[in-house]
Amino acid sequence: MATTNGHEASGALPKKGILSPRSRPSATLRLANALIVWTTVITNTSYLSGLLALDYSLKQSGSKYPLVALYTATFPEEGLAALERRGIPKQAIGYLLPSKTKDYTNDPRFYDCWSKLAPFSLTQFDRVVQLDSDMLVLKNMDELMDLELDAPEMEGKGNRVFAASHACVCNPFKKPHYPKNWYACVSRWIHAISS
Amino acid sequence: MPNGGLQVINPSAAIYNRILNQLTNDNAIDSYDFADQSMLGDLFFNRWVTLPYIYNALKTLRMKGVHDAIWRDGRVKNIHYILSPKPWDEKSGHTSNPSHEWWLEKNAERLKEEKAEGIDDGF
Repeated sequence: MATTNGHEASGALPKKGILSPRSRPSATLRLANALIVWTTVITNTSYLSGLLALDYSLKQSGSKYPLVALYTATFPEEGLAALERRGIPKQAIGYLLPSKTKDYTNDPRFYDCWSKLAPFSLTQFDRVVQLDSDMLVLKNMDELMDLELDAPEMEGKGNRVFAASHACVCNPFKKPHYPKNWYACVSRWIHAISS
Repeated sequence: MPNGGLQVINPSAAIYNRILNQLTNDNAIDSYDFADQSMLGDLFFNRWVTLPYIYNALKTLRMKGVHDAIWRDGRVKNIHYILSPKPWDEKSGHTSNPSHEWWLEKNAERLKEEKAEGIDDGF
């Protein structure tokens, strides 16, 4: 029933799969106007070229959905101007950090990472696919917008809360601060590519 | 544990509140060596959907001896330039990883198009 390109017309967006759209016309009505976006978090201009290339590659892949730049207060005015110049939509988000500061001296990139949880709060959208700015899209992947996930009403208690790829825990560069149990993840990858 | 680079989400106030609540759980945070992705893997252990590697293809997987056995250039939909240096810190012909050339080529195309439209701001 669910197709990769049919949800605007039919409302059969599989993410609401716990209830059949046919038995629930109101859901069909709402999904006809589903708001669906890609997002990426930007905190400084050192990743801005990455974001702009990501946006360009998404458009080149023929994606039907816009990329929205989620920027923190640390992102400077010149960066905002660069986004505006290119017509890339943007939205301010808060900078998320734990109440107790964890020391990531070995990997300072992790301080900025907590803000990547902000897209869970963007309830004005029905579906968000959060991307890192250091990515390049090589082929259309709009089917991710149709992937079945738990409805928001399930409050994170279901078995399809979100979707992601596995982290690679091989530690190929032998970083000494990585956990000792990060080895031999080949079996997990075989699982990942066969699912 | 998920890689936090690509996350498919149905935004939900309830899920976000659980995340905010966990950010104040000092003991849990102490155990989260990989920040956001550790937290998601912990809060929703075994309750998230696994995507194939092609949607978040960590550039390191392609390297010999890592996961080159499963990597197929023609299947990858989205490459993730994890770690440093980033491709934008390098010049074509002098890259630390062959996949950086893909980024540099695409970005050069972007800059050329932007210049033709009168955008030339150094980004």
